[in-house]
Amino acid sequence: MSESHAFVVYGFSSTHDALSGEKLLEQARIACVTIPAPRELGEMCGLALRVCEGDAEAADAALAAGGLHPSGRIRFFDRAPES
Amino acid sequence: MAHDGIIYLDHSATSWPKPPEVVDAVVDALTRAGGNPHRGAHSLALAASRLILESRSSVAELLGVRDPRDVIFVPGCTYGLNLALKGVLRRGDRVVVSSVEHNAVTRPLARLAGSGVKVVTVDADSAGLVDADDVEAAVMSGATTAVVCQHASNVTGAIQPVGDLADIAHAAGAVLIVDGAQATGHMKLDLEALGADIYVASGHKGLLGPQGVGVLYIKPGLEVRELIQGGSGGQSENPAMPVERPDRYEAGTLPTPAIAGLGAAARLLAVEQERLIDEEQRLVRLLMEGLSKIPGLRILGPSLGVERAPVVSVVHDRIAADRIAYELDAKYKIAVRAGLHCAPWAHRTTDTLLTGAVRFGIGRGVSASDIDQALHAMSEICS
Repeated sequence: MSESHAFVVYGFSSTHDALSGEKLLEQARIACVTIPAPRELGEMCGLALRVCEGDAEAADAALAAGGLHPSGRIRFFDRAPES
Repeated sequence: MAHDGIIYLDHSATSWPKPPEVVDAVVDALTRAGGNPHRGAHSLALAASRLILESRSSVAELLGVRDPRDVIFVPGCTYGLNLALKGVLRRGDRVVVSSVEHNAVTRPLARLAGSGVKVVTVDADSAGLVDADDVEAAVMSGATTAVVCQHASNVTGAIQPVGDLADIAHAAGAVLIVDGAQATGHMKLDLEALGADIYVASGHKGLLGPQGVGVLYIKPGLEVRELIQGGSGGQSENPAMPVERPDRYEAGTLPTPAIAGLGAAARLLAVEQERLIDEEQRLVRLLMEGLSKIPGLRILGPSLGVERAPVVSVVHDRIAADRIAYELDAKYKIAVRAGLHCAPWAHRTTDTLLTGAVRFGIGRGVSASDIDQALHAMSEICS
């Protein structure tokens, strides 16, 4: 079984915002994975962005610099491989 | 440009042929991004969603909209105008509208009038031009919720003073709703500078995209009720539509191929538009000069030299418009449109309600040779 890793997952109020966030992180060269929004974010249909915890501070800054305000931000452990 | 032997002069109805970039984008969307946009996170759904994000940004940039979220994709200009009118006006409201509007405006207003909205019409002159002073007088004569005006006429090509109308509407606390079907793509636009609160565009006319998508711009912060409710891809637990744009106004599955094509067209126009506009205006002058020499023809709209959209309509004093259009098609393979062009109000203004008119619509791909051939054909038909 693979090892658990710490991630930060960002939720957004729309898919447009989630994918805008994906673009901002890509421009900032921060690896992210676009995933179905986990229920812990409060909704179960939208998209969320997952980054390694070590990149979260830079991701926070990149999203804020792009004028994007996530609707949620959670930390969790997952066995998924690092981004 | 003769394409399949056809001289296509019906760009006011829809642009054709579509640029190869648009066709390629549609095919790419259908083959590479076949998932449902904003529905799920698998690779095909994300590919579709990313195409829509990219297209929205391209359209926003072309139209001078800073936040792409204020650009809403709608099924077409008619839908967008319905959304705007029915999303702004309520029973008891008063709306001022020009006398040259298209049925996409007049029919929803007729429905709203039946629901207690007071519709005040401002007459345009015989060339189809609206005088801003007349609009101001109408607006000042009663508490007004909205002013509605086309940017350019699909019959006369007349370009209305929408910047002035925005000032007039705002001074009275009203919003300006603009039907941009015939202007978008044919005029350099900066919607935020223009001052329109709501601007609606067709995606498949001057914007060169496929049929099936239109563009609705709503000024940031303006409250407009959505027209329909349904799935939006997010906030599914919410019984109401999300308040965020664009989701609030985009219930149901978006037409990814059409939107991808529109995005490609917007990127193309960003490069080509200035040259295209110059060429269209040059061809309009050629066409008007030639038509003015044919006995019995009357050209509708502003006179030669006055700025107009690339739309030229004519009526003959003896030969019916439908006959001329039929002969142009059958004998010369020239595509134009005859009739009332879904705009009886405009035809009433130009005194052609009973005759209709023959409309030439110029756009990307039309050449001077096409205009020469059309003039030659018109000379023969009208002789």
